[in-house]
Amino acid sequence: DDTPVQMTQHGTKKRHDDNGEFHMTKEEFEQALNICLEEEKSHIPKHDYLQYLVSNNLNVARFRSIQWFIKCRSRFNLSFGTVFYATNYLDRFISMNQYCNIEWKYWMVELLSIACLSIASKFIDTTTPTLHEINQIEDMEHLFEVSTIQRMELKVLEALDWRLTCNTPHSYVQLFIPNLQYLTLDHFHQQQSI
Amino acid sequence: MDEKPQRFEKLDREGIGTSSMSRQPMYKYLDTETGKRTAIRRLLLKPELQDSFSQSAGLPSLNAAQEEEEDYYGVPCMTIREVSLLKVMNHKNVARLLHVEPDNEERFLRLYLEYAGVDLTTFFKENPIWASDPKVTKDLLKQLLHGVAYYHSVDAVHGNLRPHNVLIDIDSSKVNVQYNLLITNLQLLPDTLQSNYKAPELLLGSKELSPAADMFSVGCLFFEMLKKKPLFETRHDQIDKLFRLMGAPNEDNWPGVTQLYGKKLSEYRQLKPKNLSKTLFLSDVEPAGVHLLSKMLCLNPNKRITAADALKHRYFADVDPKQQPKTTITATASSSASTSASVNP
Repeated sequence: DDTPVQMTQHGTKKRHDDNGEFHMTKEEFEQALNICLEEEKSHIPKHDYLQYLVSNNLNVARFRSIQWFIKCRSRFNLSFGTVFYATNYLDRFISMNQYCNIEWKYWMVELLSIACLSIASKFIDTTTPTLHEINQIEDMEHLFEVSTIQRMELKVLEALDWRLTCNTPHSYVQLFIPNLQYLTLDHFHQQQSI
Repeated sequence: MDEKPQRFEKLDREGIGTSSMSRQPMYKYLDTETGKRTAIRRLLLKPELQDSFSQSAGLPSLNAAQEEEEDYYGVPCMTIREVSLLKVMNHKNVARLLHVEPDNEERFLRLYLEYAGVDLTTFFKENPIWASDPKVTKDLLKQLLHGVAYYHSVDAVHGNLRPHNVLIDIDSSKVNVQYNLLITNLQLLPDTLQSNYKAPELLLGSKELSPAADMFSVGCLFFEMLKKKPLFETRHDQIDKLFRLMGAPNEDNWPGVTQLYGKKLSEYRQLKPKNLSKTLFLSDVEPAGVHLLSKMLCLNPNKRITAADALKHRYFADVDPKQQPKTTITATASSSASTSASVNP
């Protein structure tokens, strides 16, 4: 069961059945969806993030990071949510430094990736790999001291304002799958118009 | 090293306790940005690492030899979860986390938690008359339960409810003096020191903090509000005293208990539950209050009353404004934030 600890911030308690799925009425589903969409605004990258990635040649590095997250997930048997959370932290951190004229080096993205994965895993998973183990996974070109990784973790946590619960594509899928019968095209049109 | 213009100013010379970690006195601070008072709680960041990072000035050394311990996890998992939870918590009876920062050497994290008024024990000492008003007790317990219920509603547990972590702010500017209660979590004592407010399942060796265990602590605090002294004064014979009071757990009142803690229970087998009202000298407390207390002190965690249910208990029936349309404003302090509506004609 890779369901993360659901910290519902608005008192809408989600009920799990034996399969860990959420059972809701149509109203509860609509409410939950609206809350998710509303909350998401507070933890997404800036609007011109994609442009920034491309113009700084970071898109390839980002892609490699996500591939590495996926590799770590299967190697350490982490939850799928961890991959999405780590990606969200990575995007938010890079996006926050968009206007700081940072000259991104590849080792910086690697260090950031390790920190993001480590934080996400510690936040969600029941057992987490050590920093040393994470750093040993192949495809990492650099080895970092654990104190350096921890310092990076603190930098990331501070930049994210320690707000680690986020809505990712994965959390939407978790919400949609058990409630497919309620989902209509209207939901998507509505959101486009916002 | 001088970090930014001081956002937090030390408020008074008198400490508010002793830090469990450094054994240094803890102080209150004024947050110059929000105008709120705060107290600092420290969380360790690196229990294992010594001065290994002094030479690294921020830049990672490429392919550096892995000198540190190989079983190091970085920022501790519980620190990450706790701080991120505190960040999103938003309830009037729960102390807000105003700011987080690591110390210069990144050995620990300072959490600046909202601080208001005085802690419960100090409140009793400084305000003996108000504190002995049954209405005040009821109001305070209600606010405490609201805060605890909020914790449980976001799937969190407090885990360390004790008088030091219950703050009471007195606002006497209104017609009716108002009390605002705030739950904080300033001192997380090491397991061995922690204590008189622990639920029986924890005393018997369970490691799992639970909403039910919080509720037992609320029961202990409720007793303390009623009698102005702790239910269990010393920690070493707490389990003994508890069983002498509530009777020993057995398969009837706590199915599965013998399998869990059988060995530790053998010497208590004969103990029968006592009359709480008599044994604890609660004859001046209304029967509903004693009943609620017994539900909170219930030995079986699965049968112990939840915070949400406790709020619906008949003990609180008379503070419901709907059931009490006319409130007489008495000379002594009464009423509360939650019932202030009843004052209006």
